Amino acid sequence: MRFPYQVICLVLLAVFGWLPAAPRAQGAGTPSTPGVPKTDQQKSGEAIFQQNCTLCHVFSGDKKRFNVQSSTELIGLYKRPTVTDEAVRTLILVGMPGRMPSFRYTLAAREIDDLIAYLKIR
Amino acid sequence: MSRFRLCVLGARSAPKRYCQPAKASGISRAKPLAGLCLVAGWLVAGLPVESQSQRSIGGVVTSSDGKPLEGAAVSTRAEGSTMTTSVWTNQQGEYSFPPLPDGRYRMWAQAVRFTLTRAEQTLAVGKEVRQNFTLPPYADVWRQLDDIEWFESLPDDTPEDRGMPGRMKRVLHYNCGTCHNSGYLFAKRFSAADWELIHTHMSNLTSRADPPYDDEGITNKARETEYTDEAPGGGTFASPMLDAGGKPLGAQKRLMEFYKKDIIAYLTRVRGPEAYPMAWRTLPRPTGDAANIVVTEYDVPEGGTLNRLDPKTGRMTQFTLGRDGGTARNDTPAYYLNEYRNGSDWSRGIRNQFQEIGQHDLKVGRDGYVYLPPGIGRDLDPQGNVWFSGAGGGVKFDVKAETFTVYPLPKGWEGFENGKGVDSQGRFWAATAAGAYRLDPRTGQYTLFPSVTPLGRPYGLTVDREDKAWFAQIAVDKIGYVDGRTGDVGEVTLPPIADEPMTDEDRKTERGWTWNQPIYGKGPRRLQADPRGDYVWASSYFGGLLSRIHIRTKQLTEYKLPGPYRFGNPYEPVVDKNGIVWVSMSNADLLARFDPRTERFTFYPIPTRGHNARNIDVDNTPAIPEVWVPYQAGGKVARVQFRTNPAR
Ligand code: HEC
Ligand code: HEC
Repeated sequence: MRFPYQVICLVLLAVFGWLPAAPRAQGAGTPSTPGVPKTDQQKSGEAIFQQNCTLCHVFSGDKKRFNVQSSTELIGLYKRPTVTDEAVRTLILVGMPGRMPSFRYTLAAREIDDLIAYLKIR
Repeated sequence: MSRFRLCVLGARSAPKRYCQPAKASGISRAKPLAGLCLVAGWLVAGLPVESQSQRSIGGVVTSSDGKPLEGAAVSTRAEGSTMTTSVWTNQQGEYSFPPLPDGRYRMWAQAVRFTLTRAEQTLAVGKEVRQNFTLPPYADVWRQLDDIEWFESLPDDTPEDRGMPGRMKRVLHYNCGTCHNSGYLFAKRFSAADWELIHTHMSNLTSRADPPYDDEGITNKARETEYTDEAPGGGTFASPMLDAGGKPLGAQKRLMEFYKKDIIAYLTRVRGPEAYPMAWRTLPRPTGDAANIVVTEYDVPEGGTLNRLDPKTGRMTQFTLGRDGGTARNDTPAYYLNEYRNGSDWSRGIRNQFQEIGQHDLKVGRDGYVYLPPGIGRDLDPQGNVWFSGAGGGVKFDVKAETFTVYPLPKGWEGFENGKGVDSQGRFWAATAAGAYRLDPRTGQYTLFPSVTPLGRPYGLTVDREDKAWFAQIAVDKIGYVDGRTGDVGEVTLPPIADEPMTDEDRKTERGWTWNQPIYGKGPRRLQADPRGDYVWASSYFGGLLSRIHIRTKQLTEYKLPGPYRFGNPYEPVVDKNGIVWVSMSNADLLARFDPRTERFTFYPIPTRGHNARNIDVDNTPAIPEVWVPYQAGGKVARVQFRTNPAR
């Protein structure tokens, strides 16, 4: 396991821990691999994403089982032609009642800029 | 001489961003992605001690008003290196790095309430390069806070405290600080409705049953049960709490639901839309011995398998178990580097460890290497081989042959819990839901020694010098033991917390498993026997204390961490050759030292925010023992060296 310490996995880890490595050919190319940040702003945005958005936008078996995650990992979000910075900024600020919290009290304008820069390449 | 080489942008394995428990993966999932430094051919940089160069960097740190700043952290990292070295300023504001190899260095100085300030220096000529820093004040102090500084700053006397000062801090500490650092969530502000949404998700995640087992078949199936009225310690809850559909809530969800209203009201009050008039209370900066240390942090490669670190060069070698049972060695493991995610800039706040490259365990080998095993729980056998668990069994890494051997648990046997140990006969011990297993590697046979109290959630495990295995039962505040020579089993009970105010209802709430506990609980989590002495030391994660048990008389003595440090989640205690107890703190960026002779704690700074240390070790080979600290968040492991002898 690559990120073995997700807490929800802790129990399973204690049980199975670590497993033999898959042969090189296997497993390559899962479709949902997030983009890797290159610029400073994208790297900053990635960090802000990891601190604020992963509860619902990075999937796990447990989050699925307990209905925690949203339906999207936000990978390739900006490939959709209808997605604009303004719409994304508004959504982050306003949220969706009962589904996604509003980040207006948590994130500064600059942090949202960085986040958007990252979402563009995620 | 300059020996670093530039990072090569190259292939890296795609990080798996979520847990896929039962599927194999490994370092071999190569993916051409940029942004990562394959530190190929990377050599030496940033060594505190064994450096060939005698050149160093030193200087003075002052605040904007020109006054020297004591206890400020100064860090440096050579270009292309995966090592960061940190030192702290003395009373005069002076700092000095130990000798560093020649190279180009990035440097930064910081202290809470001050703005991180950067510099660059090249070490190539002369003896010492000077670099002074002037740190301007920093306005958004809350961004830089350590978890226990949050606890210091939060109010004690809100309506939700119900006349019991500090009750809500403790409710949050006991319910919200295990899966992730509490400072991680305190940095956020939401409306009441959004805190409720978050709480609902947290409560759901907590309901993952952990660890009821079915003692007949001893099977892992039971732990997948979301609803159960099975109570920690055995039996069922006297009064089941039912969900809307009439199903009984499990132990952990019961606690979450019991405190739900108060938690949402308190968080909305102090971290809601209206700014609460918070008085930011920060810890004193390190001073004296506590500031006179060198911390060298080594980035941990991706891969989640066994890494071997050569502290002399900083080089990591990665070993992977192949499907065919063979062992593959990789001398140029891949790293995922994003400095905004590694905690080195405190104003970036505390991360959650779920998405991080984390290292839970570490063991100082007898061969000069430091071993970073995957998973949780590890020990050395009498030959110096490294034991941990994985692939459905106990695993031995033969350090000379560089091969893994897996000793599979029989089919249908309940899996291992976290703690692992090896006795003087080379037998491997592991905690399990029912008590402790012992493996005889000569026959491959496992024996189960059931605990006296069932369903106590055996957690950490250690073997003392008389071959008694001790395991912490975190859910019931007991420490169980098995005498490996006679087979006798017994337990020591920790009394409930008596010195912190709480309501009668608080006192009546039932126990949880591992994610949360009632606020009278202690939660003994990790423990280590003194390899040279007669005591086992256990740390209580929730209660914030150290428990010392005599291995023959079973006499119990407890030492509470003082003041705000009580909230630091002491994790693993390890005793060095001088009898000093070192304790990792998973919710404070500190390393604790406890001297049993003076009964005093000293706290040393860790230069990474939200580092979340777990299973540490000491290296007793140098004259002054050194402490090794793996970070569960921030992707590093650290070596802590003391420039003055703390045992003197
Ligand atoms: C508590 C859960 C939660 C958190 C935390 C959360 N979101 Fe969401 N988000 C949702 C849900 C639910 C949706 C709706 C998508 C769906 O149908 O599931 C959504 C949708 C979105 C969308 C629109 C996606 C689309 O395809 O149109 C964006 C963009 C988004 N979120 C960004 C963020 C960002 C950025 C963060 C962090 C700052 C964040 N979200 C945090 C739950 C969350
Ligand atoms: C059973 C483990 C668990 C417990 C207990 C827990 N959390 Fe979480 N929490 C999580 C996980 C998992 C995430 C998502 C992190 C990820 O996957 O990257 C999370 C994320 C969060 C977030 C980030 C959400 C956002 O939108 O930024 C907040 C806030 C939070 N938790 C608050 C709490 C509070 C308050 C409590 C106590 C009532 C609590 N947590 C207890 C597991 C837990």
